[in-house]
Amino acid sequence: MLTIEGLTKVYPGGVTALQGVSLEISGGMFGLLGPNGSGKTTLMRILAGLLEPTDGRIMLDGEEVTGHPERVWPRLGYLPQYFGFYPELTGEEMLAHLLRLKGVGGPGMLRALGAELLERVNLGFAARRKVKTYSGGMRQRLGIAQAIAGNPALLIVDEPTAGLDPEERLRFYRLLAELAESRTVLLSTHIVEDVATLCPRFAVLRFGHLLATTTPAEARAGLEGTMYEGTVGRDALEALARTATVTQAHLVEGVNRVRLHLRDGAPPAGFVPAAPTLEDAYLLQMQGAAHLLPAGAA
Amino acid sequence: MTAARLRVIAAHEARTQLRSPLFWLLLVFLGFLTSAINPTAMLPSGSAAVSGVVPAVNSAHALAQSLTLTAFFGFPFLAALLAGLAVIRDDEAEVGDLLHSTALTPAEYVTGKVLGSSVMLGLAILAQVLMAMALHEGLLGGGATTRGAFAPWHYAGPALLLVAPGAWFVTATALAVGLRFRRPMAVYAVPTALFTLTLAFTWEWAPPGLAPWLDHLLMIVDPTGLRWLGRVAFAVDRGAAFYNTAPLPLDATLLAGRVVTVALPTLALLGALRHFRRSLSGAPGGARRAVRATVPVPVPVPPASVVLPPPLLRMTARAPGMIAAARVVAAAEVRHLLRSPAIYLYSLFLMSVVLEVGVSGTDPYGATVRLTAGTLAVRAIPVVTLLVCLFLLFTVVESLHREVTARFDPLLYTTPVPTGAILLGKATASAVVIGILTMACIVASAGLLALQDGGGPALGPLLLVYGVVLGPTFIVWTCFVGAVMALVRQRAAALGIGLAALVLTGVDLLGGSMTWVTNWPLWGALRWSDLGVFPLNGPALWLNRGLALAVAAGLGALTLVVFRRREPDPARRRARWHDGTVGRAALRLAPFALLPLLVGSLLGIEVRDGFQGGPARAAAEQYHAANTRPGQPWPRPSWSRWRRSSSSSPRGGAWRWRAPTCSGKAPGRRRAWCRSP
Repeated sequence: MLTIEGLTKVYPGGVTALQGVSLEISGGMFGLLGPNGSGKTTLMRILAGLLEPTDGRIMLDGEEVTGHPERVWPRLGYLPQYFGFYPELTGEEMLAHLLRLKGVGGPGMLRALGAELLERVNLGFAARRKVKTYSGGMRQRLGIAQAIAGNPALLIVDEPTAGLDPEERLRFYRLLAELAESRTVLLSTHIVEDVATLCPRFAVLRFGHLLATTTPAEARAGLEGTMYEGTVGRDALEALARTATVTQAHLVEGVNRVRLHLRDGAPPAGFVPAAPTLEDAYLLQMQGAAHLLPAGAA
Repeated sequence: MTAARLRVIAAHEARTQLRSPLFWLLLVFLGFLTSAINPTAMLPSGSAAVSGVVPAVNSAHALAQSLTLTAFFGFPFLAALLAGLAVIRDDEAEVGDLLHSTALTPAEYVTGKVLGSSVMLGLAILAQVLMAMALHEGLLGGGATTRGAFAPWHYAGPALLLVAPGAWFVTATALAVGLRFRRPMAVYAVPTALFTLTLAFTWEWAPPGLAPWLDHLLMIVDPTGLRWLGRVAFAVDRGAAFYNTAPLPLDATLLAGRVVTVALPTLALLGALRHFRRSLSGAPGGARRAVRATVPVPVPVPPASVVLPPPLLRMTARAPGMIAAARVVAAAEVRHLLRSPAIYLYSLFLMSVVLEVGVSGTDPYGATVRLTAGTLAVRAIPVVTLLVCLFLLFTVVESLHREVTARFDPLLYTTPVPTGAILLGKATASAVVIGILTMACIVASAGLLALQDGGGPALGPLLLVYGVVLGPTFIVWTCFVGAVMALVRQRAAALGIGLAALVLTGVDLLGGSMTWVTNWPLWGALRWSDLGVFPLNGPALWLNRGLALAVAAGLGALTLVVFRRREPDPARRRARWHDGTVGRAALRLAPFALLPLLVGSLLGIEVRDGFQGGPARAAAEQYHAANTRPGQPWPRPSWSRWRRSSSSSPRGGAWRWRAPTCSGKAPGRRRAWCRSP
């Protein structure tokens, strides 16, 4: 159980990245959703023990860890948003180095564990290549491999699918879902699809404030019967946006495919009721046009 | 080439250098050296010695010497670091791909960097000249100094002919090396090599029978111009009257030297630009490598399947202990060290310098001195300590900055490895560096002695001096650099502080205020005797070494306390004072301060009562003051007032020496081992 109480972070110059964020996260996958600059990475870095908060408390399994990040590290697997490796080492050398630092496995098992981890992230074919020759996606996968090494009790992954192709993203989703069965996985992302696919519960951050803590089903249920879908021309879209809440507008074969949120009244001509999605809920939350569940215990 | 793009790159580079602590440290260095170097101190004074004409501080000759010396000591390291890291900084900020995907051409990029660096170099030279002008023209007081009429050319001439080409040489060479190799260690090698070669070779090396053409060649290739000044402008003492009025004797050798000094690094820059252009276009190697690259290399392809392999092995994790984790960190550091050419090249360089020290020694009559292992090692101490400390400065800073450069820090710092293990691992790698460089010194010395004696050299004195005696110097320096890096957490600032510490130590030595307490590098302090183990230095040496190790332990503890894996919150700084965090840290450090204080106090008391101490210095000053008073009889210092005893046992290789330090003390109470460094 990870408990966060009134976490605040103020950077030099008065930039407030987090404003009194409180969360309770039990086992399983928990998503942290928010636009760029909402404070997700700051929260992740504080939880990983890399950044001291200005105020607030963090408890891990009932143990106060705010001032003692060294209590978190033995139980932590961390995939930061930005990271690198020693470029002159090969993938397997780099992973072996990290496995040793994490105290994973015995001396005889190290090679087998490293090889298996690399296979898990589909990097076995490049194990003996130097890390500096890896593509961005390959580095990300090596990062994932080191994060899951040692079966950590708490896995923090910050924007993990950035740089992964669709195939690898799918593979990673499955891996994370498997890992979340037996531990707490905290996933930070600005991609709604990541949360919709993986997280039974999630929180929404914006400008350092916790806006909501809910489940995808609850978020969608809140919009039941209020979403409509239709197609309009470009000029009509601008007029429509003035009279209704447009959540999404995609160009499909030259026309705008639009999703509307209407709490009351009849939809415009040509629009039909549509099943709400998590993306609708998130975008409406960001626009301030609707509210998910209030922030609270998850 | 577009002027607008060039201006953007140059302005950005100049702004970056202006914000760097290294640039401001350079100005401080130049100011300090300008005030510390007396323009007439090394000028042949001719009739001034017999109450004749006194040399003026602002003559062309005096200023040429002082400006050139100031530039030689001030510019090499800081100017090289400022310019040499210009391209590497961009690499580390990962802006290279962005920059080179624009219309910016490689030539514009490199020329912009050169222009930006040159502008800052020009500002530094201008500041140096203005400071010299303010000091030597009496704008800052100092009316007692003899000075001639103000002549701007006396400042501008040496600045343009001697200072600027020399500073350009080091700046452009460092930039070229940084551009070509993209490694900080390669950049650090530039000023180190230039400084050492100038000091040990080009400046004054003139064995009997040196061919004139070789002498002229050395003048031409000496970028500092110091050799030309010494061999041409001040070759013979022409008297102060001449130096006060005569212009600098500009000759073809000087002009050729200046042309070479400007042209060589320019060619190096052009070569580096060519390589840079090729690397951007994807052909980093030469023609042969390009041909080789046409042979198709099979690249492994990842499997297309998204089917997951079997579930994970039952991994277990247990936080590694201090020693085990330190071993892992040390292994990675040492592997990195041994894969880099820097340690091998530097070892060779150090060996060549030790050989040069060995072969260049002559007695007061110019005869070649027959060396023993001890005399050679002791003679090499100043240059060995300087070079090893410089290399340690660079390697320790890079080692502690390595994770940040590679962006590996968030991964390393969230592992359960104790912080002490990270530091211990890196310290172990530094110990390996010390070991390799010490071995290089021993091998070079042993080889030289074997050539001289035709048999196997005595390794004992070499191990004693390079290992036992100098070991604490290297250890305390490593701990100092580590503590500085942990405190400032910035490469440029740490390098600047480290260089400043070396300069201040040199100033302490040259200023005559260095004692056994402050002489941590043992510069000029040791006297070797083949009759025993430092019988003339005695317990002072071992107390000094003990002090170095005690300070090293204190600095190590400080590093452990201040080294931050977690970025501290600035808003909680005051809270840390109030909630006792700082107090508790100070308490934890207190025991580590006790031992250095104790050993330092013991040594300080001995020094105070020895001839480096206040009473002895006061007595010496009193003696000289009385003797310079006309008509005042004063007894000559007499050994008759000193009681000393010595005994030697050649068979046992022992020599014991006891004597008081100065008159006025009860004989035999103090030993005379507090010798001047």
